[in-house]
This record gives sequence, structure tokens and C-alpha cells, in this order.
Amino acid sequence: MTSARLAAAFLLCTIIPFISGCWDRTEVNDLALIMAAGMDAAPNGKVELSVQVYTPNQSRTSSDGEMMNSGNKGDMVIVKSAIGTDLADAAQRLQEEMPRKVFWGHSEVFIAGEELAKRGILDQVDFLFRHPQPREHAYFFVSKGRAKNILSINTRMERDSAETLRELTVLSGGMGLTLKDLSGMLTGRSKALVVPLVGRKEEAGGSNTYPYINGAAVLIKGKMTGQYQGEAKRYVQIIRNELESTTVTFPIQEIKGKGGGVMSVRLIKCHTKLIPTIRRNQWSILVRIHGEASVLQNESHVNVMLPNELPRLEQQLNKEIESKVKETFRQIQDETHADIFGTGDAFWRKYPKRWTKEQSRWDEIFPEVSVYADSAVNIKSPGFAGKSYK
Amino acid sequence: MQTNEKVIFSDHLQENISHLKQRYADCFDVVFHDFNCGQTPAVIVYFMGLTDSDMINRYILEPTLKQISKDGGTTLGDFCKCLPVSSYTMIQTMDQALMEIGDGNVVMLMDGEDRAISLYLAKWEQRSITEPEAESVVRGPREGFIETLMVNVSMIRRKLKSPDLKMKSIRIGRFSQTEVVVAFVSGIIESSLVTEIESRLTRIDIDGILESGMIEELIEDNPYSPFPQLQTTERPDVVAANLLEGKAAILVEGTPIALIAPATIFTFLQSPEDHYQRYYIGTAIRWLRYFFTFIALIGPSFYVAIVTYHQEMIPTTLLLNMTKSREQIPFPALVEALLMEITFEALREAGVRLPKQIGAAVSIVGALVIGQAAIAAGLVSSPMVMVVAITGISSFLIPHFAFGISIRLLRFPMMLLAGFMGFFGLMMGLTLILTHLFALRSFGVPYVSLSTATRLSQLKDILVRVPSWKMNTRPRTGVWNRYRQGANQRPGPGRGGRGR
Repeated sequence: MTSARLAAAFLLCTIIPFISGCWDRTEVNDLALIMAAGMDAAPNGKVELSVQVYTPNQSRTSSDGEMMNSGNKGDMVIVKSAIGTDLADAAQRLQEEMPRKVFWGHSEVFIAGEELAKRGILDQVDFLFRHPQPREHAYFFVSKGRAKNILSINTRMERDSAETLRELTVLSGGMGLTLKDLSGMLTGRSKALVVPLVGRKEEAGGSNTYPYINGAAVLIKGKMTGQYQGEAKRYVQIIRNELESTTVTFPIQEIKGKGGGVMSVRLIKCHTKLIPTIRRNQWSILVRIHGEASVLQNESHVNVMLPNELPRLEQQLNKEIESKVKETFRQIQDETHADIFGTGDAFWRKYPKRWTKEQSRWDEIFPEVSVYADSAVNIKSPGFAGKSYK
Repeated sequence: MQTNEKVIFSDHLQENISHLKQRYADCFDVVFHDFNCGQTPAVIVYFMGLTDSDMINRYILEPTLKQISKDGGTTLGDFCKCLPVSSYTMIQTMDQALMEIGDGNVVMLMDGEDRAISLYLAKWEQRSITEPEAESVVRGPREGFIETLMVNVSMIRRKLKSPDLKMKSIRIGRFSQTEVVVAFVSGIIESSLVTEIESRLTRIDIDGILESGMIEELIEDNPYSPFPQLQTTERPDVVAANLLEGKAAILVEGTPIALIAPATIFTFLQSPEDHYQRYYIGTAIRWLRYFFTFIALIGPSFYVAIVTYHQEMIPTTLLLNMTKSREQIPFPALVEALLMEITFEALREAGVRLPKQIGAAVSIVGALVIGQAAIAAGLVSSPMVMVVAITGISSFLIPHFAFGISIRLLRFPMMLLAGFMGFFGLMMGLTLILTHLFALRSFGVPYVSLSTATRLSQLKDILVRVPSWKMNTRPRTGVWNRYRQGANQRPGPGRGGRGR
């Protein structure tokens, strides 16, 4: 009896591993590791999927176990692409061309081409959310031009263009948009999205190009409707309360014979609050900014070491911030009609009943919302140097 | 013991002697020495080599021939009172006599007496006390047990002088007649534990006990478990410390390894040094040990699972490097891991068996040549060599060899499970091991006694090593004699004898 049970247990233990097999076993060297993927619009409503695949053969280890560097060309990735009816179809075609199993788990960057973004990304990102492998912490970008071109850039500072973009977003402070953020924003109240816009630039004195983030694309319901660059990018981040630190340059007016000039400060802390008001039918929003700053460069004659000069400087600084905030807000209102600041959420929180009633009209209301700004940034430190060198 | 019936002595010396001679037929090393004690013929029986013949001459024969013959003491009782021998016993049966002779004592028989006397003159060559090799410490006593039971007993007695230290002797083994001593401190130990140990020891009926490991195997709670259920030590201080915690020690003649019962999993993860070093260090090292015990168990299997099934869990850059190094490897990760682990175990075993001088050479060949050459030959990848090396080292962090080797052994089924089923298999293996551990008992005490310790005080010596002035209660406290020390033992200014 016991020996029969023992034999059964033994059989079970030995059989289970073999019948279960290792059917989904994949060694790392049987994987095609996708480092980044790009989606582009293709003719006839099709989609072109381009992937950056890591090629370990380019950097094989030499016989004594040490790494052999195959030049500094950085040719460790290759870009492959396939056209399909949708992303999943294209992915399948890609797989058929590949000798190794496609593995999405390490793809940290997804780029949608400008054309596809204008057509709408919602149908395609559905694949990224539904497929079990892509990480939800991967970053999402929209590219100027075709995404494939960004992927095929040979970067020199980082491993590949995907790594460059990832590092850029980490440094950019709150600009990065992960797939997780994307799914959160798509289900949010205002259907507007801000996605970092990737462009390419030529290296000074060289034929090489490098990718960089040159602004943001504004998407409404997954369709790209506009973009903004430069200073607007910075102030959008301030209004969205996403900014960690930035530099603000402002002019100082001449007073009582003391010379004016320009001064730059670094915002060390910055906190923004949107305060909505509805008076009769006039919807308005007040952007209230609190913060601290330290002087970064002083081109004026103001002696920043004098405490009684600070209120004057702060006043000028806040004036500059306020005007820029209003300007940016209006620019976004006029150019993209997209509520990318979460204004809708602010109105909904304060006037829930009114909001539900007017919700469907929000696209019409938003461009008409009047904006006020109130900035209270204090200059805490004159920097490491004393008074001006002038 | 060839016969079970007890043969008692007869009145006639010749009858007794012939019986003994019959039993000791073909034993060249037994000595029957006839002499006259006054007018009465007497015989002493002893083993050459086990008894000091010089002492026999000086303390038995000389006084006998000189004085007793004059005084004419003719009974054994009178006789032994006149001998300058400190210790003796009267024996009534022939079996007892055989046992005493076997122990190296001198048995003396007299005509007209239906009993014999055993004089304790045993003396044989023994190893001197040396530092225990398997359990060395940086700080702590340097003495270790030796093969002679009496010396070992004396070493414990030197540490615990109270009469409450009890030592009970039991003979085990049909032919070996090995003396086994159960030591405990009455008043601390639960008396049921002593009864249990004694009953388990007395039911052993085998030919011979040559090492305490044989006893261990015969008194375990779960004989099929891969885990040791009795703590082994060759350090008297460890035995003393455990006796004070209410445990019992089993010492066996002929081996320097003592057994301590009951044992929990934490006793195997603690070193005696934990209590000798400062408690911060003791705690830190203890956690280091817990962590690496875990690594020793699942290190390679974790690696195998992650490389074959869960590549998304590896940081990207690391994965890229691993892909590079695995590119040229012909085997799946599981085969690679088994290959390396088995090689490592072989090297370890070779190192243990070889003489010390060659051992160093083997480890150099093993570590440098095989490790490096295997990578160069493309048999294994370099991350695998590192995983195996870390696992190997971590298994040696376990202070008790027996526990370490069972962990090392369990690593192999874990690797197979991980190789076949990934993390799922790994978790299955861990669950099985944990279930087994929680079900395991050592002399009625749960092996993982954390489960029963609802009181925080029980964890004082497990999760951390609290300073000894805080360890006021004994572990596993019974109803009585709970406090092991006086209250308020914390040192500090104004707390000593001198006051403020």
C-alpha cells in the first residue's frame, strides 16, 4: 500500500516536469529584444511598424571572455519594419521575417509618426495596452516626420536612439509620458493629451544627427491637432504643475537713475493651482503660482545683496511670469483648442452640476475661458556671487 | 551480549574464571593474573592497553602482597578498603564484569565470594584537547571535545558546576557497548523531554554506535526529512549554553561530536559567536546569514528561471550583457547551471577528502582553471559562473555543516523545477520546503518555532540578537523558572556596585 503510494508519488514527480515540458522556455539568446518601436502611417490606411532590434552579434565576446569593442559606430541595433493592416498584423509580419522570437518586454520607447498621430493613435495604442509584453512604464512620443527615421539615427553618446530619448525624458522633468499615463489620460475628463515631440538635429560640424525633444504635440481624442515649442513648452509645464525647475529671464525697469537690465533666475520650487470661477456665463480661470527662485545671472545694476531690492525684483519677475502664463494659455486656446491644462477637471471639481450640464459643450467653452494669473515667486538666494560685477 | 540470561557469580573462583576464559577465548589482549591475597587465591582480569599496568602493580599487587597478607583481610569488602584506589564498584553478575573489563577497568575475583570488584584504573592513549576545526570562532573558547567521553563530560562540568547539571549514562550497541551520556540541567529542562530522549535512546538496538550521527539517525522525529533535526557541536561552550536554554545534550563515547536536542531551524543559522560579539554585530551578521541562506537555496534556480522564462524582469542593460555572454553557449541555462553546480560540488567534495597540501592545489585548479577555461571554451556563460560562485560561498555562511549541506542538496530539485516551470516551479518548490519545515518537529518542538511564538520576547534571539542584559527570560519558557537572570541587568553609570 505504502510502496504503491510512494511509487505513485515518485512517478508524479518525475512525469510532471516532462509532460509539462518547458514549452514556453525561451533562452535569452533566442530572443529578438526590441529596444524601441515606431508606428507610421502607410498608404491605404495601413500601418508601418518599425522596430529597433538589439543585435548581440555585433559585440561578441572574444575568446578570453573580454568584451571586444566593434568600433564606436554604436551599431548594436538594427531597424526593421513591416507594413500591416494594423499594428498586430504588422508585428506578426515582422516576426515572420525574424529568426528569433520578438520580445517587447524591454521596449522602453514607443514613437508615433506625425502623420499617424494626425490620423489618430487610439486604434494602435490599443495593441500596446492589450499585448502582455510591452511595459506600461515605456515612454510614448510623437515624432516630427516619420518615426522610422528617428529610430534609425545612430547616436554616439548613448547606446541607441531609444536610450537617448529615455534619458532625455528623465532629464526633462515631467515631460515624459508613459503608456500608463497615456491610458490614464485617455480615460480622463478632457480628452486632450500632451505628448513629447521628437525631432532630429544635426551635430555641429558633423554629418551625424541626434534626436531631441523639441516641443510637444497636442492630441485631442488621440488625434494630433497642434503643437507648441520653445518657451510655451516651459510655461505649459508650469500651468500643468509639472515643472521641477526652470530658468526665467526677465527685464528690470530703470528706477531713479539706477540702471535696468536683464536678470535670470532659476525656479527652485514651483507650485501651481488652477482656480476656476463661473460668473453668469463667463467662465474664467485663475492660475496661481507659488514658488522660490534663486538668481542665476545678473546683467543689471541691481545689487542683489540688498534685501530692500528684492521686492522690486520679485515684482518684475512675477509680472513676467504672469504675462507669459497668460500668453501661453491663450496661445494654446487659440491654436489647438485643446484643454491640456486640466481646466475641465478644475471646473468639474468646483461646479459639478454645471459641468455635467455643459460637459458636451466644453470644446466650445474652453477657447472662450478667460485667464488670469497670479504669481508669488520669492527670490530666496542671490546665488553664489555677491553684487553685480558691473 | 550473546546471552540474555544473567549469569551470576558462583562461590568458586575456578568456576568464575573458567566462565570468563570461555567468553574471552581467542582474545590475546586479555590478562588473567593469579595471586594470593593472604591465603585466599584471587584473580584480576583486565585488558592490556586499556589499563595502566604500572598502576596495577603499584596500587593493587604491591599493597596486596605486602600488607593485606599480614593483616589477613580475606573478604573483598575488607580488601578493597585497604587499597589506595579511589573508585571501585561491587559487581554481581558476569555480564557486568565483562562490561567493566571492556571499559578498561580491573575486575578482581576472590575465592569464596559470589561477587567481584571493579577498580577504576582505565587509562589509554587519547588525543589532547584542540581547537574545534569545523566550528572555529574569532572570539570564544578554543577548546573542543575529543574522543574520550569522560574528558568531554569533564569539560561541560567545568563550565556548569551546579549539582543541577545532571548526566545520565546509557549503554547502546550490542557489540560496541558504547556509553552515551544525556546531560541536562534539572530545573530548566522540561522533565518530559528527558524522559522522551531516554526512551528514544533505550529503544535503539543495533550492533554498534561508532559516531553520534548513527544515534541522530535513530532518534529523529522525521527520518525522511532532508533537514537535520538535532544540533551537532564539538564545542563545550555551545553545549553549556544550550543546556542553560533548557535543552539536552547527548554525548557519545568515541566521537567529539555532541548532539543537542531539540533543535529549531534558527539554531542552525546561529553561531556561538553571535553571543560573544557585540550585539549590533551579532544582529547584522545574523541577517547576513539569513539572507545568504536564502541565496544558497534559490540562487541558481532564480537565475535559471529568470533567464529562461522571465526576461522582462531583468534590467535592460543587464539583459543586453547577458544576451551577449549567452550568445555562444550551446546549452540551455538549466543544463549550464546543473553542469556548474555539480562541478562545484565535486570540487568541494574533493577538497574535503584530499590532504590539506593538495587541497589548495585542487581549489586553484577548480576556481581559476576550470572557471576561466569553461567560459573561454564557451561551455558556460560568465554570469552563470558568478551565480554559482556566490551560491557556493553563501552556502558556507551557514554555520552548521549539516544544515548547509541539506540546503545545498535542495538546490538541485529547485533548479530542475525552475528550469521546467520558471517562477511557478520555484514557488512550488519553496512552498513544499516551507510546508515541510513548518510541519517538522524536533522532539516535539516545532522546527520553525516562529509560528508558535506569539510573544515578541521569543524573537529576541532570532530576528535580532538583543543585548544579554535584555534577554531576561529563557526561550520556550515553561510555566516555571522563567527568568534566567536578575532584573535590571543593564550596565551604565551608577548601576554598578559603586553607585552615584
